[in-house]
Amino acid sequence: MATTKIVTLTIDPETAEVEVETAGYQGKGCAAVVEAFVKDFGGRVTEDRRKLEYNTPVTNQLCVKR
Amino acid sequence: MSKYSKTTTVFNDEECLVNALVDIGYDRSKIEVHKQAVPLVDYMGRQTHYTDAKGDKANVIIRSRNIGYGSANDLGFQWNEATKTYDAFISEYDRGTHHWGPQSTRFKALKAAHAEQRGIKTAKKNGFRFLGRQVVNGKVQLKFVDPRVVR
Repeated sequence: MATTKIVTLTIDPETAEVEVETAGYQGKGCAAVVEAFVKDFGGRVTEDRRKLEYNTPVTNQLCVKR
Repeated sequence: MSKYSKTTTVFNDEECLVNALVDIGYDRSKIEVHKQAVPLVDYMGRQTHYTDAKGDKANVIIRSRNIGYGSANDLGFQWNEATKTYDAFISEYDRGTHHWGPQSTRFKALKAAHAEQRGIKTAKKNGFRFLGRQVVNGKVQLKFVDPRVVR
């Protein structure tokens, strides 16, 4: 069965903090997507990186501190 | 006061910075973009030397007459090769919270607009298709779909 993969960016207008949320990814695919955003934003992964990489099901959320 | 000070920012992409300035209301034709940084000038039209003995310079500039209030100096953003981000050059007068200070509504709006532009650019680079933008609980949400389907 096909799974749609969705990426949601949530931006706080007050702090410009960005959250990257993914849905539909398997395993490390999720982490790869988040890392791509983190790299381009110049931010860093601040929490739950391991959880993000290894947990399934794969709706995860991670903060990119700006 | 026209004295400049330099502020490190999170802006790391020229195109996103310029688009963000447009998003918060500046006319694109009023935003100067220079590959080589050019001089900033004060309210008297004089080149300043507050942060650099050779003259304060920037790559992305909004001249004081185009800032939208009685600005003292030009507003400039200079690429910093060491930090890989732009440094903001804001005069002492313009650093107030009602003008362009780091805690001002304008500066916060620019940061948020840059984050939005940066996110859209990264998503596009990675092949994601833009689904839409909405505001939820005061926060901007951008949704993308990854066209590579998992089976």
